[in-house]
Amino acid sequence: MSITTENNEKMITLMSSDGEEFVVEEAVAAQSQTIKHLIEDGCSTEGSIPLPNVTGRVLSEVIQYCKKHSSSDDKEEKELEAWDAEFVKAADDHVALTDLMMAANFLDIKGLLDLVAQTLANMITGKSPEEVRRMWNIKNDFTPEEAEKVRKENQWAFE
Amino acid sequence: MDSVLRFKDLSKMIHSSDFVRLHLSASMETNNDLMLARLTNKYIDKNTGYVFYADFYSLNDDNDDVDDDGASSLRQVRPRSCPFKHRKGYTFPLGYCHGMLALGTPDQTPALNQVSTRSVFYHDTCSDRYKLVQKVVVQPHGEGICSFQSYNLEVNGFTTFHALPDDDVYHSRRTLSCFVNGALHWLARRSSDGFRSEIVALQLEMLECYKLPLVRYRRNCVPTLAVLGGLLCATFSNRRDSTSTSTYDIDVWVLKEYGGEWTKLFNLTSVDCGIHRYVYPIAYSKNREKVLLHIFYHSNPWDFLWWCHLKQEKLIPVNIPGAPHSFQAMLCLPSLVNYITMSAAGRISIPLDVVPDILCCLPLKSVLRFKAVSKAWCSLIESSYFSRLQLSASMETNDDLMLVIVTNEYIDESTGYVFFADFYSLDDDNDDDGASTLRQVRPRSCPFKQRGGCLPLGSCHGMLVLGSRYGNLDFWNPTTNQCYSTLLAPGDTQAMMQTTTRSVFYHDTCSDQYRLVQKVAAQPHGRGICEFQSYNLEANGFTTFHTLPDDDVCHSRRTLSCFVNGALHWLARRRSDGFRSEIVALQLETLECYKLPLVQYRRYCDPTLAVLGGLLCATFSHRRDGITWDIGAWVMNEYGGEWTKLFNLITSRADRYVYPLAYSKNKEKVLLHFFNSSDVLGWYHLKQEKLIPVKIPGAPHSFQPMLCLPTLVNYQKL
Repeated sequence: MSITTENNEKMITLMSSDGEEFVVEEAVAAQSQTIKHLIEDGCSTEGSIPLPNVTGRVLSEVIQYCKKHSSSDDKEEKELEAWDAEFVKAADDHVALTDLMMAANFLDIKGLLDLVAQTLANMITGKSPEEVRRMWNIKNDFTPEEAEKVRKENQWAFE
Repeated sequence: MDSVLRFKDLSKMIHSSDFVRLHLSASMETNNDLMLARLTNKYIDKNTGYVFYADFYSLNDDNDDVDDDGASSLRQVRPRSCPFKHRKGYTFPLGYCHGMLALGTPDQTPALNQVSTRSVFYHDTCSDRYKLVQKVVVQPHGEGICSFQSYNLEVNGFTTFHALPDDDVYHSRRTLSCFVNGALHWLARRSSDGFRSEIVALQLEMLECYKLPLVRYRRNCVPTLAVLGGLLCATFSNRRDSTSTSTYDIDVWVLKEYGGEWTKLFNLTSVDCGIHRYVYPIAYSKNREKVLLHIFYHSNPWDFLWWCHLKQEKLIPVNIPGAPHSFQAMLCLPSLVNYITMSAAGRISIPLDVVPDILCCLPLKSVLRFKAVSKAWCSLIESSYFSRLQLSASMETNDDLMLVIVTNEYIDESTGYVFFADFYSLDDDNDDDGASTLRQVRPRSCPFKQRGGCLPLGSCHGMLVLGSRYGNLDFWNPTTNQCYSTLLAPGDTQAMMQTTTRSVFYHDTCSDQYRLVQKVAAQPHGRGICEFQSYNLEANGFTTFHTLPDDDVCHSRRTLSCFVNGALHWLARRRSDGFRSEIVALQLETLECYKLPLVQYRRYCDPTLAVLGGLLCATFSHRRDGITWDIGAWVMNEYGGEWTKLFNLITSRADRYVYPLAYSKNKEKVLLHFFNSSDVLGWYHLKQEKLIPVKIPGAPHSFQPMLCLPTLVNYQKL
């Protein structure tokens, strides 16, 4: 369903996996390459665009990011950087950031993906493999011998 | 619960989070398995200190054969547990929730240690996570502030999320924080209210702070606040009169409907339970006929449990054989819940296709360490897909560029020379007293212990190429420590090691391959011919692909071959041009040979040619008088265009050659390599226009500097 606002901005509706609907300007949503392609394929003309991989909570954050980044072409880069820093800080922990990362990946929003990737990277840079496993519930499938081999080969990285 | 665990082998299902939840909600419905956990710290000896023990008792009442003395005993349902045998010091209970106990040893953590700290461990139903929250008095005694902090698994510490004026009565025991209805409750009393106690609550999600009315029972008697069977419970214990020593009236009220009226649960009059400080109800018995009370005394025994029979209106002492005189009581509903996996942190997983994006932002040291995370991460990191991705990411920033100091050290007669590589950062934040010390970023490496010295032939994308006079040729990535080694035929070895041979190792973007190319003077000295040879992996030898008349000035050091813009560059000088130096270039793909103008600085002074920050750079070192030298560096900002002066400095150093190596990370300085009889490095500060000597602790007189941008690239794979 596309409607037009007073400013002649074309609006489109996005629907999250949990059925929440968001009405946004097409230019804002089109920062997502995935949505852009869906619009080009005519998916926005009838009803809302379903986004089965993104929950409403995450989608509202993504839209917040896209709005800021579409309206601030002429703004100071520094101000935008500060806004980005606040934005990821508000995401609070790696769980929220991972959700955001997956959404940015699915929606194909390069700027957001890079921002979140860098934030998660900063979070894990000094961590041990065990701590990383615990963060993302990754199973350690190495045998003790294999684990020792990996460790030995990259000894300096563990010091 | 025991049966469930016995059947654990049958299926992994039992530990799946779905089953854990199902089991939890089933047992919360019946609440049948609720256990009393009695926690003690037993002093062993001076060496061991305190050891923490937990004993578990059933709240059944079918077995309280009230003995002759009218006492009941509790049935132990599990063997005594001693989870932290080897830990020194006292272990505090901080809270309990869904069969998990939160414990802390306060020694290192002042906030935990504070006696006024109250903690609660609860399940936040909104986020479906377990949270440990504590209320810490920031300025104890007086009109202080108390801050509310929650434990954050990721940062492994407490973060403050709220603050309030401190008004706690400090009656409540720390383990008995009252978490009901999503809010933390405590008794407060303010001078403005005539020191009358009231209940203050902080809703932990909305952070709304509000008051609840306290039952108006006895004006000058402060109750204790507890949670009994999920309801707020206020207990008054009033000594009948000061003369009759140990006779009390005990009244217990519950708030059946949260925020509603208080209901009297029971009152015991004139019971003799000894002179005590506080009475806390803990739990109902299974058939709800009795309530377990924990009474705190002024003297030994400090803690004692009593059953209060609701119908018979009497207190029954609870004897626990072997129980110490001081303990803490908690409740535990056995469950399979695991704090890590049931915190949202444990349930979130990361799809492998976003992992490369994160790993690309990390220093390679972390990336290599994370090969140990899992097999999938390991093979991802080893894949050529990831090594390309990482390479282009690190080339973009160029932040990690390292200086490699290559040396051959003489060990002894039987060993001879051994090759060493030391790695330094190009950071510039570590200057002091006029000299700068390079910071070693990796341990010293010695990849070819069993072999004589090596000559560096070139470096590209984090790989170093090394040759030896015995015919060894090695493509070594010091970051991954992967090395492709081969042994050359004697003819190739001789050409490679000739002092006039210049080599370059580069990445050919057209074929996406790494190439080792060398320029060999076929008839050295005089008007000879020089051959351009490239190393061929399949044939394991050098093949000649071009020849030119030999006109090299032979000034340049062999490791500093100038590969820029797809072409090899060298200084040449021909008789026909009156021996004036000029730059000759050979485009390595088209084999086009052309000349580039050399900056006209001083007529009879030959510069050195190098590559600095990707640009050709000519450096003149000219003797001004007996003691001072004039060094001028010029760069070709646009390839084939004009030369731009980078700097000019006057120094008393008398060196044969000066080569610029690299910019510092912030581009404010240029690292220079001086060599004459020994090798010396110095920073030239572009703004301050001064030379800063560089100290390399332990460096020998002779070394070769190389640059290396750490990557995961493997010569053979590409």
